[in-house]
Amino acid sequence: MLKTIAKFLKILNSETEPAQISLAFCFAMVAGLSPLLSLHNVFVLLLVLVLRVNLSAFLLAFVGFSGIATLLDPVFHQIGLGLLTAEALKGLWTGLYDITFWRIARFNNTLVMGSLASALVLFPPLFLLSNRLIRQYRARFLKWVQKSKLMQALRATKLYEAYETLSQLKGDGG
Amino acid sequence: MKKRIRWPGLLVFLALVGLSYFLLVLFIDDFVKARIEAIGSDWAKAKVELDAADLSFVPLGLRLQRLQVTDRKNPMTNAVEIGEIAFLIDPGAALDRKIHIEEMTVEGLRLNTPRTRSGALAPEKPPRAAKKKGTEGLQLPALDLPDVKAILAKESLASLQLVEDLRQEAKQEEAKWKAQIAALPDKETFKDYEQRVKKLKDAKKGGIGGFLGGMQEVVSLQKEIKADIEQIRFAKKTLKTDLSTLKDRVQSVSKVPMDDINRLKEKYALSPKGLSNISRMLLREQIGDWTETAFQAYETLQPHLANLSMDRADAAAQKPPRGKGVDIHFRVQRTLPNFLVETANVSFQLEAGNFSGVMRQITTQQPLTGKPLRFRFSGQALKDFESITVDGTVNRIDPAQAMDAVQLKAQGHRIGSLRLSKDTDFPVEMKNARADFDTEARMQNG
Repeated sequence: MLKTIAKFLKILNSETEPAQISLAFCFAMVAGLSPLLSLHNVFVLLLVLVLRVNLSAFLLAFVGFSGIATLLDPVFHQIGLGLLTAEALKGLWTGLYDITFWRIARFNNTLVMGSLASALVLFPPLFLLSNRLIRQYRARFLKWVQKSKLMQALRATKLYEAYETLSQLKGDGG
Repeated sequence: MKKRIRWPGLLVFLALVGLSYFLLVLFIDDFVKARIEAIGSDWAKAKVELDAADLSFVPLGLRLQRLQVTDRKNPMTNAVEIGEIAFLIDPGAALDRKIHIEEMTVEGLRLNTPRTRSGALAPEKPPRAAKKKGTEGLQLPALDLPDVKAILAKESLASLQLVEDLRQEAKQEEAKWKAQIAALPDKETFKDYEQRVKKLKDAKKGGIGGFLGGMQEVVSLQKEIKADIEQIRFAKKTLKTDLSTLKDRVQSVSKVPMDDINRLKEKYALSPKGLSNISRMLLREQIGDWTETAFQAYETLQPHLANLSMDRADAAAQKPPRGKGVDIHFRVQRTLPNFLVETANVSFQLEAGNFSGVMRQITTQQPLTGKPLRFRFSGQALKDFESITVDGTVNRIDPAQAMDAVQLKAQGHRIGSLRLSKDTDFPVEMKNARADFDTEARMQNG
């Protein structure tokens, strides 16, 4: 738990641009909420590696969203079922169903559809909200957190030192 | 962001994809082999073993080497052993949960081969009882096609049995009633009563003494007549009941022939079960057994094949397992059957010799393909024949107008020494002969 908090604070306190962290959260949400072995997650992995998003933030958030996904399974199933059985969308789904690529993408699975649709809908608001929160945090709480006893204690640990050294070697990219 | 693109990330991605592909290629064959053995054993309820599996991606295909399916009743014997199976699968159809095999090759198919190790899954069951007398070894088709009369002669008909039972019962009833009627008061009895009444009347004329003696006789006579009348009434009533029961039985028996007809139609229709019955009838026990084995395999597979299609309504009603969801299927224009083998090249080894042939359009849903199943097998230089060719069509494109046909051409049947005449003055013996047969069977509307 301490490791996680340390990592999280390190990310927030670093000079990484808020957009890089926010984007990492958003991609982690897409990958974490939907079944791991889905074609779109390969695309997410490509984007995470190629776009300059914060990898530590992505990995940390991915673990968190995967946990949330387990709890929200029934909700995603219902959302997916609702979308896939909606009469208005029947033509679209039938058209996609006839194309091999989309079949490999398993769009017709209720869980894949429900979780992906939910993640995509939440993507822009999460991006904007986390951007704003990171900026607010850095402007208002960063100095206070740096001086806090928790942060002092964390800084004293060897793990944090090692993490800091590694981060400096790697640069901002995470 | 200062730099939006991280190019080394692309290299990492490509490396990850390459590594995944490498691992897939490295382990997929073993994975496929293990899955086929596990699923096959589960389906067949007997050990299924495979020497090797080779999955190719471009084109998508699978090659299986030495597939052994244990006879579940006899674990030291393989019900089926196939040297090699190779086929190409339509990837688009596979995604649609449909098995569409463009070309399949089945080589070295053999039945009832011995195993070196037991193929029992659970605790070993006792081996199957010894083979029935007269079914040892392979016997080629008898070629004497029995007609409907022969089939009827071989069948035990419930209607005939019931009619026979009824006839016996009627005979017994007749005998019983003859005995009962014989025991009933007859003309003689009533003549006797008449005599006694006459005597009583005479006694009346004999004074007071005769009158008193006659009173007792009158009471006794009345009792006897009353008892006889009661006996006749009771017999009449019982006869009525027995007649009614017999009438009901006759009526019920009159309906049974139709049940027999329906049963025979079902038994000898060109269903998988019917096919095995026809085979047993026409081609002797051994071939009937093989067809039965195939039918059992089909029955084993049937429930699993039925699960291959699920529509939207089914999916909506299904509760998904955690983390899996439910696949919803849509009706696309390109409608393929759930299972289709376009071409299967099959070769098999029998005691009589080697046979090979082709089967086309193997599917259970011919209305979707619009093509009938066709097959052609032939064997050359056989044990008792120079050659045998079997051509057939199973047409279920329009189930209401089913049309199936099989043509058997056997050439050069070697007939050995045969005495044609036992006459000592003019003995005739055929030392050697050859015969050709050409047989055709057709079935219409099942």
